[in-house]
Amino acid sequence: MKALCWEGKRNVKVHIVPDPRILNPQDAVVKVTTAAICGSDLHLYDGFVPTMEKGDILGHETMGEVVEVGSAVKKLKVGNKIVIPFDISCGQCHFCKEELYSACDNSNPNAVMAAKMYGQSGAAAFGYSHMFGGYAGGQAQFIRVPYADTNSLIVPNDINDEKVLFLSDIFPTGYMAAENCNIKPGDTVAIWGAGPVGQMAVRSAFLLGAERVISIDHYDNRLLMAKQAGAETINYNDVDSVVDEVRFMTGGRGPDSCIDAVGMEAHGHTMTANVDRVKVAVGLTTDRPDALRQAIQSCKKGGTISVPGVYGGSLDKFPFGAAFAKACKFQMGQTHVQKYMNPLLNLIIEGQIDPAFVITHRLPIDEAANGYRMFSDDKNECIKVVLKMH
Amino acid sequence: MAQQQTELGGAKHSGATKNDGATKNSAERKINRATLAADKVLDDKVSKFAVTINKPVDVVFEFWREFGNLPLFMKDLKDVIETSKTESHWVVELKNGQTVEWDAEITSESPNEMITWKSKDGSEVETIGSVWFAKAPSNWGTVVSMLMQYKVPSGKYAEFTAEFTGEHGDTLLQTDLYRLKALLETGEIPTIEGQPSGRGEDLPSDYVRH
Repeated sequence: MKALCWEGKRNVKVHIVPDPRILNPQDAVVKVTTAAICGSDLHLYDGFVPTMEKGDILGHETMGEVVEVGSAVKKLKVGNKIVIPFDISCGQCHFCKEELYSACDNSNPNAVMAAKMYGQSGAAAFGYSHMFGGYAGGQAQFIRVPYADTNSLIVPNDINDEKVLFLSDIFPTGYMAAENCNIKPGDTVAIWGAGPVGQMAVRSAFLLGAERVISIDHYDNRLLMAKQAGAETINYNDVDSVVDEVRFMTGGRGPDSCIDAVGMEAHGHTMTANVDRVKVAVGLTTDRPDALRQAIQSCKKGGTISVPGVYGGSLDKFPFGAAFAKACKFQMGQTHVQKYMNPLLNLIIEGQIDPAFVITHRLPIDEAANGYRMFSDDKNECIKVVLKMH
Repeated sequence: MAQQQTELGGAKHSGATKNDGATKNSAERKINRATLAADKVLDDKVSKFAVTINKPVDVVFEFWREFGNLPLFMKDLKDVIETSKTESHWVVELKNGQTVEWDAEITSESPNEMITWKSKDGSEVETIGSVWFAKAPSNWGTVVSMLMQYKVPSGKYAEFTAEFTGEHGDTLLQTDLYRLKALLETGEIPTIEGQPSGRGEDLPSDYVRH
């Protein structure tokens, strides 16, 4: 089969590799019809995530048709059309039973590696480094899905792939970020990052009852997309201080909740952002948390800072004093995708949202490497790349 | 039961053991007790780790007590053959193909609570181990706390020493307990062995990299 493989920093290639097969009784093998490139794939592409190995198959936004099931698979049948969540969860441990799927105890065969870094290991993920399990990803023509009954959402055969593909990650991720804000009528939610997750968070915040959403980025096309959903926007290149601007727009109170949909590779031109870039370049730190710093500075007293953006290591110049002084609440973590897939599918079927709005590029698998280049280098034009696999 | 623990922990710890009886079930307390037990026998570093398994205590204990089950989750352990009610023969196969074997005997046992064992006198590889079972708080299941210690003659078993002692010994024990937990909770152990990748060794033989 054809599969998109990580070859090193800013170097991915499509290779012909062996097809996956059933390795454990609860596995299924899926013929992938459509996959997407995620913003978090760019953290891999840019070499920000440790424990990648040359030849690893990438991709964690994937859907397709079940072609084989293991002996212990009960629910899934050959022929089912499914969306696959990015996190791999066993469905049977304490955390899975509490619907904290991304905290699954059992899915990561390299749990020791993650536990050394984080104390305890969370769930494994498809195509997201060996510390997160080393599982082959879904930017490939076939994928093996472990614990297949838990890690699948059966969707109607006649529904368009593009309508439901983003149930694998960015829609639940944006939705959980907004849900974590515990939005009340009249609330204002500010969202750093108008990439795909930020876009889903804008729409989810409105779905959950926010009165105002403020979207912050520096790409005009992305801000335009947020504006089309009803958000007010700030292009941070046009203002002296994002924090001052947000405060001015919210009557001096600050937003009720702030969402950091940027994560570890924040851009920006503040002094701290520049220091981050230098420190990362010489290996002194791993993450560039400038969006998170601004979110904390901006948030109202007693407000919530919700972090769907991915972070990997320790953060420099983290304004914990501001968060403490203002009694802010933090909500964060990898998305418990399996918890959200079904209710969000219903929202799509009811016509309340069609997540396909975010797609700007459609490419065949052979051009996947080009898709990474565009998504990385032309963020204004390229907002979401979808790959057609066969 | 109290008598067995006293033997294991040594006379100087028997007081602590008695007091425990009155307190609530505490897995952590048992780890400490077991640490002291292992310290007494061998000088080398003790590897210890604990996991909480979402299954009832008796289920976990019975699975563990069936020593033939141990190779299912302990990496490198090829075989454990029970030769009598308290004696067993252990076979480790290392990555380099070398096998290391020893006979072990159970030194104390209390159903649903603990098992301790050690290699028989005269074994080339000296080992002592103990595993403790306790009901976890709330609905968490069972706490399994395990301690392992090896004393290996220098030279002949370099590979074994590298794999089973020191920091690697800690990692191995942690890995084994995660595998036990996954096996009991889900019926399988997570793996990526045998999956495709773009690495040379995994590519079809007629494949030319482009």
